[in-house]
Amino acid sequence: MFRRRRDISSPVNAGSMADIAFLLLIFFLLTSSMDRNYAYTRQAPPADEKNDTPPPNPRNVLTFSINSIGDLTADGKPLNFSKVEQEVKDFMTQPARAEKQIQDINNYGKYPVSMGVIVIKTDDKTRYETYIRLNDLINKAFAALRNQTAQQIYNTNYANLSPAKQVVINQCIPQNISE
Amino acid sequence: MYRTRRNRAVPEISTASLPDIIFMLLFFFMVTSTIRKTTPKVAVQLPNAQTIEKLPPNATNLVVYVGQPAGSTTMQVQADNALINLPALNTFITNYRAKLPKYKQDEFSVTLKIHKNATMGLVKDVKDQLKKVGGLQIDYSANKN
Repeated sequence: MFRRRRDISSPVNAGSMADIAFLLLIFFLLTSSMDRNYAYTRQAPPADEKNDTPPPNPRNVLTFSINSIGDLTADGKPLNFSKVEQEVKDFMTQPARAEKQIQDINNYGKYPVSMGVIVIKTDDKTRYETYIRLNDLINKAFAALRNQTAQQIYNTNYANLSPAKQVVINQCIPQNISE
Repeated sequence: MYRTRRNRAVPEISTASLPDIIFMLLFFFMVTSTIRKTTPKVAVQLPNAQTIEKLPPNATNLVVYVGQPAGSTTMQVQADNALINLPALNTFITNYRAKLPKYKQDEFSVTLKIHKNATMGLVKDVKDQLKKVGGLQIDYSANKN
């Protein structure tokens, strides 16, 4: 009877479990990369799409161009990179700049949507880094505008909204970038 | 008397919790890491940006690199695991996409990892190739700062 009790309570030898786990751990360390994949996402148009839409009113177009040595102009006038954000915000919101059209937004109602289109032009010798910097600043301006609209409509930050409400805001402030 | 004798003996360190600790490390690495699918043959220094978003782990179907091969300063294009000539890129992507299961073809995306010193002329050529394929989601990879 004493022997039976010892049999039941004898511990399982767990020493080799650590070895197995170590092997798995080393396998994952070798096959995986820790680099985070951060990116801008853009949708390319379908290959067979005909460009039937009439060209927008010049008033509704803001053209950024970067020359071969990385100098920026907005609608032909030289502009510092630090002023891009404000320029985009002004263009999208000020009554004298891009036109607004009252549109029916799903799940919300009528909203004066800006018709503004931003065009980015680059020289063949422009560095990719400069182009990404401009894109980054434009994105920043749109993020701020969307946040502002989210505050007006829902009294909260854009990031805190549900995906459905974010779609509403995205339709109120469309980010039209053409290259 | 019996009690004091037992207390003086040096007890063995229990290794029973060691596997638990290792398993915790293992799960941490499994969750935080993504499996490397392609081996870069070109060196790519990504540009920095702030407004970029983190891609979901398995969103990318094909990575196109533009960078410098070892010991060279001219930019080269790499798609999947091999260096490729730029004019052949669109047929490569079309063929690559056709081999995927249907549900993956519908949400096919291409991640561009382009060296920050690449010229926009080359970037435009890559984009023109992607436009020929059409209807793609394109992710422009950058470092978050």
